[in-house]
Amino acid sequence: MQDDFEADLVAALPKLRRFARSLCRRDDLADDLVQTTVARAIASRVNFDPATDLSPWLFRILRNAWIDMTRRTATRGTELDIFEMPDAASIDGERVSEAALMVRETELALATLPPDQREVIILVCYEELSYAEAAEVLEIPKGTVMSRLARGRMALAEKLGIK
Amino acid sequence: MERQQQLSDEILMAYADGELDAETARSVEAAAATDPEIAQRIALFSRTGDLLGTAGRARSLEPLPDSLIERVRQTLDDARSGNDAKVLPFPARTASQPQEKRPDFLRYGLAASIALAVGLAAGYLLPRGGGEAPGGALVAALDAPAVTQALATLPSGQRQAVSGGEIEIIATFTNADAELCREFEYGHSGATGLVSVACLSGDQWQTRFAVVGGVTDSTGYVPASSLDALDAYLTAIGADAPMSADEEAAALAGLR
Repeated sequence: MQDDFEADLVAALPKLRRFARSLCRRDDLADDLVQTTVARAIASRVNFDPATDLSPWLFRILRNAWIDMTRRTATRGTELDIFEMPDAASIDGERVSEAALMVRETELALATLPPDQREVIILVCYEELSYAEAAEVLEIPKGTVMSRLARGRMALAEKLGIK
Repeated sequence: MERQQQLSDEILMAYADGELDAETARSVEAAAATDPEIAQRIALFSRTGDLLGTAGRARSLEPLPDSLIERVRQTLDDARSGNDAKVLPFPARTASQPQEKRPDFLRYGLAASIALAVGLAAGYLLPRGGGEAPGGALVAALDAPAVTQALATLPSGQRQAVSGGEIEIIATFTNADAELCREFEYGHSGATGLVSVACLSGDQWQTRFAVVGGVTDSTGYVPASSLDALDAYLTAIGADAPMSADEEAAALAGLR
């Protein structure tokens, strides 16, 4: 009989992993991140307000772990291409439908956006967080989330030729 | 002027995303009905929202790969001193001796893995063929007031029946953050239990470590791997040497 926190945490792991993969684009690093996130979440569970959603709280821990990881990587002198192009294999199929092609183009366009815009888009559009939740994850005001998101989507529309 | 402000890209986007309150949404709709340019900008945000939503859903939620689960187990296996040393007689064991500092890479990775074990109901740490998985229920039971009470009062080496199980305090020490910590075992008599470490944060005892493997009667055995994991954990948190009986008594008296 797990308590709710542990049960919710375990249930959130696939989502966490997907977010981790969005951030670092490498499965091995993503798994490291998930593992670190769980460890930190357990260690600081007293700071979690059970009246709120667990996901944004976990996302924030994961994102901070990612920042730590990139910082450490940077000091080691090994450049890590955070925003390398998405792996085409992850979205192609036997039959490349028009929809799949559009997904591919969207991913490619997204990968060219500045990191701060890209990050907000992933949280709101991919992970379906509210603006307020995204603000909590990124520890920035909701207004900043909105302006980054709007700018990012305008830029994306332009890259995709949407009028 | 105010109207101009209201109809920024952000507001139109928020409308497209369904983030506006009803009143603001109605005013956006009214404006869009008379101004095709506004309608077009809203459509642009709707379109990008749809495309991104589709792209996001294409990144499907996969179940955790075995490699991630396995890696946790593997890390713990690596800490095992050797395959032969599977068991260690429980009665012979006294307080785990904190060991000399280990390399940093071990401290970080292993501590993370071990803490993960708590979150995953300790199921992954069960010995293979371990039958029922008592870990989750036991971990949950560690929060019981009776356990907390025992942590605050029971001297090392003594046992006490608490909330359907039995607790035995192994040692008392401080960690690198100068928090008071107690290593203890908890379980139901004769069954596999938990080896655990709780530390006092403010006035709250927090379970910081728990691994399946402790036993609560004198005929049982503690798997060596559990103790290796514990030792690695103690090293990682900078655990000081176990307190003497007098030091411990003074520390516990200070809690009251």
